Amino acid sequence: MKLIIPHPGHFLALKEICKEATKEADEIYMAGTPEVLGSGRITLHAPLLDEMEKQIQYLHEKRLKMGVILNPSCMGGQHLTLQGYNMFRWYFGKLNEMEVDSVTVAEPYLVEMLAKEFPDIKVVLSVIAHVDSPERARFFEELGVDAITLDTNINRSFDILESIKEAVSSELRLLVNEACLYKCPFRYSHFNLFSHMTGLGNKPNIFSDYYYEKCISFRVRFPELVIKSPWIRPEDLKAYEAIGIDYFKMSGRANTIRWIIDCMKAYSNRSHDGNLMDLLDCPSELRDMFYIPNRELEGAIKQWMGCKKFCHKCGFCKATAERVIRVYEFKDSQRKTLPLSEVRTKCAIS
Amino acid sequence: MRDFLNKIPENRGKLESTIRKFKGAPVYIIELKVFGTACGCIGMLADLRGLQTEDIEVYQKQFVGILSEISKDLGLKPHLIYARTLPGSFEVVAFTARELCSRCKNELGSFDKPRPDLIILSKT
Repeated sequence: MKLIIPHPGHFLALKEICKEATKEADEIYMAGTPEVLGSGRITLHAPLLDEMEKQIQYLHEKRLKMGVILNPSCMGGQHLTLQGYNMFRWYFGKLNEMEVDSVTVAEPYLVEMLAKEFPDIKVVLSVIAHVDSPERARFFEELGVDAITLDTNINRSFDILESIKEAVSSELRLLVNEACLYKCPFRYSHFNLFSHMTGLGNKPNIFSDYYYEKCISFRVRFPELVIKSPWIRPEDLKAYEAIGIDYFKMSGRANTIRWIIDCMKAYSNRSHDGNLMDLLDCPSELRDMFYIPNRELEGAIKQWMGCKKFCHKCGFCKATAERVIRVYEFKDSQRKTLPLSEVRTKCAIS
Repeated sequence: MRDFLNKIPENRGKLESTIRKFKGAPVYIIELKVFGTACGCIGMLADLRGLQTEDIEVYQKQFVGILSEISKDLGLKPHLIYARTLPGSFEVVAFTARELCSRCKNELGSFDKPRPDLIILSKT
């Protein structure tokens, strides 16, 4: 098993992560320089090239690899202008000189450009390229990827995972704890929003992150969505290794250093005793709303391995949510948890 | 002062559990804040998730009841209690109980819907 660990971007974080890096940690990744290219998620600290070079050297001394994420889902066509091409080529050249180990992109043109012009850089396809089938994986392999981060929507579709494994020779990576909504209706729009918020050009002055707030609200109203979302428990990694997938990427570069280190340890130890919510990135705001005892999810993977994803007919995740999810309640200066069913009572007032 | 500060998390929990009880569904009060603005208003603000505008239509009386009770406990005498929605959506994201300064009394207190994202729950 190899773990790919998020890094918020500042040197202090890198040093702390390295101090506690487990033997499973293989690569550490951070966002690139937003003055050149944004990314698909919030970026808290984006180092300039000088700082990046120092961080890469530091990591190499520790015998770890550095990945740089440049995965906006939309670049407004800049990459297909001569000015854009020259800028990205210059930037990739700099990363190459610094001996960065991998660059993660979502844009097909950048995949091909990196593969053709910078053969020493490992080209990793971002989850934002939404590879969810053998055919799509083969298209990107043809363009030149070395590794593919698969669409999280197929994290629990073992038949598709096995087919992709058969169809391509690229390294396959799974994002284990992103925990976005399964088949999220906001996914493309949200990545596009971040791409424009973190990239070049005029940044929209938005009144709110509608997609995020709506996502969290959905989960509060329908807690079974937390169970349906395609996270992978540390204990279940072995099911993926059994089908030949052994690169696991952790999400969470906008989280605290301590959170990242604790998650790294949980996945390295293949074990987590406590609230599953403590490992999940996207819905981490709900850590103080839901308590999901990870141990009580033992065995659920067996159902998901054969799951046809017809939720309206199945009801397994909904029943699991009713069984395991507890809701925090604050009363008399004490925090306790209640079963979901006690919170979801019959309306007292109609 | 410490006693007053301790009241804030207690009232956060109280607001959350009361709404959960009368709605009969999970609701999450992320944060309860007591604020003072530059213009001179004082008040409390609860950031929340899990409510929709239709809940306001059904439970307006109950929301006003609990928000008034908490305001009183915090020593506030709100002129205005309102819910804030995400513009263009059904999502309710905050409750505010506010003692208004003279300017805001004019701006927020003069109309039934002073801004498209605000739903006035009670006005005195």
